[in-house]
Amino acid sequence: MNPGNSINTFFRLLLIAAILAATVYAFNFLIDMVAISLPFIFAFIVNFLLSPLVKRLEKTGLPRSISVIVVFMGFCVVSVFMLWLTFTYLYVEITALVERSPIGIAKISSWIQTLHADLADKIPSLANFDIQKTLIEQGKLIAPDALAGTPQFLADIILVLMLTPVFTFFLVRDGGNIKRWFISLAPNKYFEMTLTMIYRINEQMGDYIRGRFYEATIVGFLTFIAIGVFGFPHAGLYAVTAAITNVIPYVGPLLCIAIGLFIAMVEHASFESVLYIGIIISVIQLLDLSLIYPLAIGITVQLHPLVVILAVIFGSKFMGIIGLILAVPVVSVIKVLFTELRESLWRYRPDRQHNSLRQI
Amino acid sequence: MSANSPFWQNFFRSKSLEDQMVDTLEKLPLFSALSHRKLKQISSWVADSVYRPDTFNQSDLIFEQGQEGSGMYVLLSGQVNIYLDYHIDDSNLLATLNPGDFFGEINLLDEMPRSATAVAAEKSEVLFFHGREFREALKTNVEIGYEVMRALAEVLGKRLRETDELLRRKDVELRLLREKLKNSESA
Repeated sequence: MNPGNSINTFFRLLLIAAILAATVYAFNFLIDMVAISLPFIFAFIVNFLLSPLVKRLEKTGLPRSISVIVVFMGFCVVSVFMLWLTFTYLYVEITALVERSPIGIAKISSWIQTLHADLADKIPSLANFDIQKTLIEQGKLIAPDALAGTPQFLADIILVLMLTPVFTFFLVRDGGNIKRWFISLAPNKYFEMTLTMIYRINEQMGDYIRGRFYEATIVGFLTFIAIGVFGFPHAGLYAVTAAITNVIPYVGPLLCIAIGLFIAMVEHASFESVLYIGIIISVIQLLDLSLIYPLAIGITVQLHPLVVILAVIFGSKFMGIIGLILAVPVVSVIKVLFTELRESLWRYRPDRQHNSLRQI
Repeated sequence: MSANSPFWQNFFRSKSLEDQMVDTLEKLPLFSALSHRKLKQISSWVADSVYRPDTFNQSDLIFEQGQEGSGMYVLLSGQVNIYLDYHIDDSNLLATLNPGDFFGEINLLDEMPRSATAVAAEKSEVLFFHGREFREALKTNVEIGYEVMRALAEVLGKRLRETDELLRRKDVELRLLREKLKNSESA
């Protein structure tokens, strides 16, 4: 073997290792950046909801700067009002639920004991296993961590609430200029390709975010009406749970049913009530999957369900709750980038084009 | 902070952008039928669909035949040559464009591949009208949108007639050549 070749191979392997290490480092850095830039991500999402309103106002003849101010002020007033209304309502609901919880928890405890006794009769090895004790011990283990993280969590929420409106204002006002600046970075040769790519990403992200917003609102509203019509209390609590979990594709509906059943168990401590509430929530979630989702989001994000589920799993693994929400938009952006690059750089090849012309 | 500070100038810069856009649009045949008032009305919407790439140097490709097109170019300064089958026969020059001329206008209507190649004959500055954003901008006012689209149809019709005429002349030339060839063979 030529010694020169083995040195070359060694350097190539070293280069590959360095590239891999740099990729892992860059990926970790990106994840940290995403966690830090939460207000920016929220502002980006809100921007997609507000920009069409600004354009609509501009159509009436209002100057852009005035349209931005009017829409932004309207957004701030409506958001503060909605947040105040939701938190006040939820506070009352949760307080009432907590007050009644001892009865429900006692009932659940007795269910678990009965279930344990039945199982122990059939499987003797379970007789020495104390479910309640294990659950309490696990709870004791989790509780200190959860409590220790609370101040940081609250600080993060306050930061997000303060910075999101500021970022939103500048994004709505300067969105077009930011896009122009980004396009100006591309060499002239790729100018049109970059512009088309950004346009398609913008269009897809906008449609997806607006679609999700409408879908979550409709699902929340339907849940509120259905729970209320059947005469169960805490309809607002179920509605907010359904709307929030709805932003997570596929996993969200299951999460909603699980949380809904837990609330029902704590509140009613009756098997029939839990069953009815479970059926109501499940029917609405099915209605969402079969009717509301196709109407609100439709063919905007044409991703295979398996890809969506994998994206959600990876998203939650690397970025937690934010990853759950952002997984689908990020994958859809990657898909647009890939499709556009393939169309522009692979499908169109001057040499092939000219060869075919020569044949003619 | 005074009203003349860069912050406020920057904040209300949309006004000067609108004026610049009106000046540019007035010179284009597509917008020549519109009054100054109407141009002012649509300038801010159209401005959202207009981009300004970096200056093209001499011999720079602006776009190539077969490449997916997404909009129309307007030549602000310099000269642009339009070629058919550029790499096969560089002498196949279709037209030389001067400031104020526009090219690639069919892609204001669709995203089909470019039918010719545009090359900067000298240092050139261009404006680019993005087709989809332009069509969306025109939707904001049906009356103005109709007038612009009508002007575009007129331009396309004129170019189609010119191409028909060229083809007819080429066809006559071809027939004459065939006859000559036939006569020389029989002789």
